[in-house]
Amino acid sequence: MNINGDKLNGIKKPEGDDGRDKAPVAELNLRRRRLVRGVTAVAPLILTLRSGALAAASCTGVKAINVSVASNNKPASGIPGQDYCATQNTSLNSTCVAPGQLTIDTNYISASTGKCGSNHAGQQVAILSSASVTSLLALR
Amino acid sequence: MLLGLTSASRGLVWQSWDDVYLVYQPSSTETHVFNDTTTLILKCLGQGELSQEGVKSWTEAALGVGQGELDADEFAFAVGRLEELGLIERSEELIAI
Repeated sequence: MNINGDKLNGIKKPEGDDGRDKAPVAELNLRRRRLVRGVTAVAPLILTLRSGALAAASCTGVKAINVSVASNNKPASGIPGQDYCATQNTSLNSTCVAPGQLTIDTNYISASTGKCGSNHAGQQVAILSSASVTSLLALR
Repeated sequence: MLLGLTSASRGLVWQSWDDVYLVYQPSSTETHVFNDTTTLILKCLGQGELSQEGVKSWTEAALGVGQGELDADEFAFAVGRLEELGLIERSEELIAI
């Protein structure tokens, strides 16, 4: 989400001379804030939280685990009837998953067969709880 | 020399928190804290490549401050830092001959 409440990569290039809006964002709010906080607030702020533990704690996506799927389409872990399989659009390098990184199967891991809803035989998938799937869909 | 966004910056996950933004970068698994000014620099470049001077001018206008009020050194430092993080990149301006 950006300052407009939109995803930054969702910004469309407006028609016009250089393609940049002249009065872009919630200007009144910005000016009001700036009047209160003073000119120093104009300076760019970039802080990076390098602690892995902190990064994990502040995960803004959802939790998922990286799991291999056997040739019979059964994932190595996950609870049949409760968890979901998901295709990794970009390889998971952490347990914090952002929207767009995964394509979620429409069905649970089958309670009767223990297999993923779609065929992922031989692949690495992400396993998510149903709560995580709900959160991920809400974040999109 | 033009500035532009990298693909990594297009995958950022934004969360507003009071006056700042918590920004998760999946490509590095790092979490950053940006303020309005930094956010606007990225927003400007989200609309297309632009010179560093152009980005600074646009950001000042978006912030509602006068031209030149954004300190040039602080702005250049921020641009350099965003480059280090892999969120923006420089490209040579094409000149028609």
